[in-house]
Amino acid sequence: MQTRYLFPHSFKKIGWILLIIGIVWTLTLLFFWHQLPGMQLKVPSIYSGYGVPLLNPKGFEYNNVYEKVEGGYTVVNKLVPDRKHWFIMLNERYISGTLISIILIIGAILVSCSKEKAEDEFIAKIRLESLLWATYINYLMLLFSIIFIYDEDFSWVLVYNMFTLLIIFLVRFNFILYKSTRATKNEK
Amino acid sequence: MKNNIRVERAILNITQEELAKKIGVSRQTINAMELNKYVPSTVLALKIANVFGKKVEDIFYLEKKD
Repeated sequence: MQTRYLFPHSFKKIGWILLIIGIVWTLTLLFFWHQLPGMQLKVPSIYSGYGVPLLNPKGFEYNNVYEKVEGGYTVVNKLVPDRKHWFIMLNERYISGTLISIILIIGAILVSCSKEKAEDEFIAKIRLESLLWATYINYLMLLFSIIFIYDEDFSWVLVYNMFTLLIIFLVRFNFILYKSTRATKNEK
Repeated sequence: MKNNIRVERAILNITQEELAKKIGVSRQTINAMELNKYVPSTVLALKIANVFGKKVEDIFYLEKKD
């Protein structure tokens, strides 16, 4: 039995290269962000919370909207999201976060989901068990963070959480693989 | 489930590596089976029995707890 839906073994190397670039770039930004120039580019976005009126009144406009009252509806002139700004728009954005996320996700997926050199049913079993294991650990950590971490700090938890599932999987899968490879060294 | 792959291998005088190559699996798999840490699929069990020229039941057998 072979695991289906896996990439060829050769993709693993590309994955590692991307993953390492992503991790090094992340660490560089974490430690030297104040010294590096921000990478800005005009990019399209399909949704923007730009429109929160307190933060940016520009994203809102006064418009006539229907409001429910007792016995029917009435027209009210109200501050509502300006659709032109709210949805699809081109704007100058800092894109290093975007690029790092893309590189990390593609890298981690390629490393995790490429076949081993000798992919067989035993390795498929380790793979699936590790994925289950990583899911448990990841959500335990997330539950813990939901309970004990608040506000802006929590949004960082969510940022890290985009990658932790795959990282935990990789650590556990490779550890078990290493252990079973080492076990064969004692045998003939 | 237990098995006597190791014994059969000794009779044929082949290494884990050679057996792995014959049936197209990794060496880890053979080792894990010999250590009773992994129960192979029916396909793999039949392939192993084939290599040793025996019936599956002669190589794999149930334990009380199964």
